[in-house]
Parts: sequence; structure tokens; C-alpha cells
Amino acid sequence: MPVPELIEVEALGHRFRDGSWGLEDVSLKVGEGEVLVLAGRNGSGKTLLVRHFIGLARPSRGRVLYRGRPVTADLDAARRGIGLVFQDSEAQIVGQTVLEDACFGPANLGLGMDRALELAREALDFVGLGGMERRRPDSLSGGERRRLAIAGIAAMRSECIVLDEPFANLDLEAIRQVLAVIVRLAGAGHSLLVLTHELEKCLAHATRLAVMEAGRIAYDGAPSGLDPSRFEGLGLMNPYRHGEKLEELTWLG
Amino acid sequence: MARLELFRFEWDDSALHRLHPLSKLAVLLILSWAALAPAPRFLAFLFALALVLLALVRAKPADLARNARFLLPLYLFVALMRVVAPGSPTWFHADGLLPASVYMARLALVFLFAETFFRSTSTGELADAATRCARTLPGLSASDPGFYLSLTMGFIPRCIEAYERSREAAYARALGLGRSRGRRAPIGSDRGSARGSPDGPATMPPNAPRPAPPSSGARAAPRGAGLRSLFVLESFVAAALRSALRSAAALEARSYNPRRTVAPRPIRRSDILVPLAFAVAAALSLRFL
Repeated sequence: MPVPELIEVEALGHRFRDGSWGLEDVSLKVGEGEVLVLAGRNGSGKTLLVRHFIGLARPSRGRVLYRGRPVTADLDAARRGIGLVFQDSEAQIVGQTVLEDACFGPANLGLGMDRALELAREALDFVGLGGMERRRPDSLSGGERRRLAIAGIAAMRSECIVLDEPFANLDLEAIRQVLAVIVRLAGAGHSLLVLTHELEKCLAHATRLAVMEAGRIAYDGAPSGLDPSRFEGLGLMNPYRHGEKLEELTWLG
Repeated sequence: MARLELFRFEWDDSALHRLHPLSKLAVLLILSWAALAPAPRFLAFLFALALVLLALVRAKPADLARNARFLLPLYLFVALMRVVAPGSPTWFHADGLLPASVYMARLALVFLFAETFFRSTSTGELADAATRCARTLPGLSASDPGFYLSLTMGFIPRCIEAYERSREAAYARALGLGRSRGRRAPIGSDRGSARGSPDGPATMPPNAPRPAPPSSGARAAPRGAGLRSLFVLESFVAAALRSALRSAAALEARSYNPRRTVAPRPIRRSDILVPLAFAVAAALSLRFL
């Protein structure tokens, strides 16, 4: 019997209350260990699509499967297996200290407190926030807060981590630190789905590229497979515009 | 103006930080009750005690002074109400100043004790303690009231932040122009011109028509300013609701579960003795002082 894909989106449609379609006939698969960069202009439906992965939005058509089971049928499994890091890290932080916040997810999984703390500390070390356990989240910089939000999800040991615009509003140094965490997560065997329109910062680390346009998948394939002349039409800056090669499309120092 | 940071938790390893959160809550309630004492010398003693407790949690006097500044206008208002009596033969009653000062001293004491409590107790700790208590009750073994309480407490600073953002955004778009006498220069004046002074707009299209400066100096508030203030309120309410929805989605994303594991916190002998000692001392003091 074939092993089901980690995440499988089947002809997903999402209709807003005003009758317009946010997603139309979207089909996509995320395999184990994949680093999928999902690009697209603002409003193309990237965030809406991943909200369906953990049941934060309800499909109007089609379905999303996690490990072969519809997300709507087993929401708990999907939320344990798929971790979503929001673009707005502020909203995701609930603890009054860094450790308290990182521990929140594992505690929700019903683990013993010792194990939850151990996972939280491991995750904080992993994202480079080791030693900051007692700091207040609001005393962290934007980049540190973003990494704390990632640690909060990584501590839950989710198989797949979805990062929504992980580089937005960060300076160069913070982008490099977040990117280093992404590369480490991929190295640790997590499947990653990175939502961004800033391809020049991370495309070198992708194993696959998908591009959304007006609620549909406009491209899905190898990172190098999209004709450079199509980027601008899809609302994206052509990352090869200065003659770069794919392996140069990284901001990792 | 420096931002208010009322009741902000600061991690430390002081004796107060190590005390059980419910013991601290009991002490806070006892001290707040004791602050109702009528004797000014007892209030003075409580002030000294509050300062000792604040020193224990390493509160900085500058932070305290900044956070307590809201007490001053309140005091002036209360004093005014007690001292001025329109219609009476003498209009001014200086003897009303002492009761007004006692009221404010009580309020200041409660504020200082609350600062001590919140500086040494994170809402997470308090939430866990409340949930642990609730789960011992029949039928509530899977409940998490403490977390709901901590969410509510966490939502208040977020609301304040949302309000500040809405207000600043409105000021950046010229709300209150001319009302803040000297603090904000009108568009078109030297101080707030298109050069990008901190008080004025950073950039302006070169050909854009500029509003004329107010005809009678800074007093000329634009018409409908009150109505536009309502827009700030509306924008604040919308921002607060959005923030609440985002928080709810984030909790779901982090698999929030009312059966979540709550850190065990055994109650030590000192956790019982400390509030007991405070209760006895307060009762005796109120009886004999």
C-alpha cells in the first residue's frame, strides 16, 4: 500500500461571503522532507490556502488531506502534525517569558511538564534563543520574536512547518538568522512550506516551487523550472534579473 | 512621552518570586484591606512596607514614578472636589484636604502592592495556579479557567497598544490639528513643513495643495474634530477585535487544549505561613492602631 502524502490538497475551493472566490480548484501535494516555497503576489491566496491545512478555514469545495485523512475529520492530528507560524508573530506569542511561551505548545499536547520544558528548551536552542528563557517576549527584537514563534511550533515536533512570510519586516541580520533556522529545520527532516514573494532570499534552499495567482496554482515544479519571463506577470520580482544562478538565491551569509 | 508599563512581570529569583502565586494573591488582598485603615501613621507604615516589598522585587523608582503618574491628576480632582464647595459661605474648605489625601494614599498603596504582585507573578503562573485549583473541583477536571483569565489579562495591554496605534495613526493624518497648542505645528507652518520634522509630515508631493494654516493660531480646531475622534475609537475597536481573532487563530494553530499540562507547584510551608502572618499582623494593627 503506498504511503500517503504528508499533505494533499484536492481541488480546493474557498468562496467568500461576497461570492468571490479566494481559492479555485487548488491541488497541491507536500511530501516528506520537502522544502516547498509557495510564492505569489499579495492577495493571491497563499495564506488562505495554508489556513485550510489546520482547519482555520472551511473549504467551499474540495478537501485537504493530512496523511491521507481529511483535515476536517481529524483536526487534532492535523494540528499536531502541521505547525503554522503566522506572519504576525505577536499574535502567536502567549507566554510572559520566552520559556513559558515555547512550552505552551508541548503542554497542549498533554506531555508531562518535564518533557514539555525539555522540548521547549531544545527548540529555543535550535533557533538560537538559548539563554533567553527568562526574557519577556516584548523585550525581544523583531527577528528574535519571529524565531520565538518558530520555536513555539518546533517544540511541538510537527512533521511539517508552514512559515507565512517569515522574512517580512526584518532587517538583513534577522533575515539571515531566520533563514539559518529554516535551513536547520529542513536539515532536521521537517517538511517545510515557506510562503513568500521574496524568492531572491531563499529559493536556493527550495526543493520545489509553487506559484499562486488569483487563487489558483499557476506553477508547480522545480525551483529552476519557471521561465524567468513569467515572474513579473505573476507579481514577483524576477530573482534572476542580474544573471544570478539558482544556488545564489540565498541571503544566508 | 514614555509608555505606561503597568503591572509588568519581570523575571527574577527573589523570595517573592519563589512564593506560591495564590499566597501572593492572598497577601495582596490582605494588604489592600489593611490600606482601608483610617490612621495616617498606619498608612505611613504600609508605605514603608510597600517600598521594602518593591525593593525585594527590584522595582526601579523611575519606573514606579512613571507608572504612578496617573495618580496625580486623580488626586488633584479628588482634592478639588473635597476642598471647593460652590454655594457655601466660604467656598473653600481646607479641612477637606486631609481626607482627600487619605483616599489617595489608600489608592497609591493598593497600586504599589499590585505592582509588587504583578512584578513577581507572571500571568502564566497565576493561570496555572487557578487551573490547578479548579481541576480539584468535581466536574472541572478538564477545565482551564486560569488560562482564560490570563488571556483576558493579556488582552488589556494589547488593547492599550491597539488604541495607541490608532491614535498615533490618526495624529499622523492630522487629527487634533490645532488643539494641542504648541505641541503639534499646523501643516504649512515652518515647524511642521514638508522637510520632515518629527512633528510634521515626512514628505509631501511638491505640487500638492496645502491646507491653509488655522486663521486664529493654534486655537482653531478643524470642524468635526470630535466626530473624527470617533473614527479613532472605531478603528481601535476594530483593531482590538482583529487582534482577538488573530489570537484565537494562533491558539488553534498551537493546538490549544483545555486539558493542557499544567506545571505542578507544590505548596510549601512558607506559602501558607506568609499570608497567615500578614493576615494576623493586619488584623492586630487595624484593631490597636
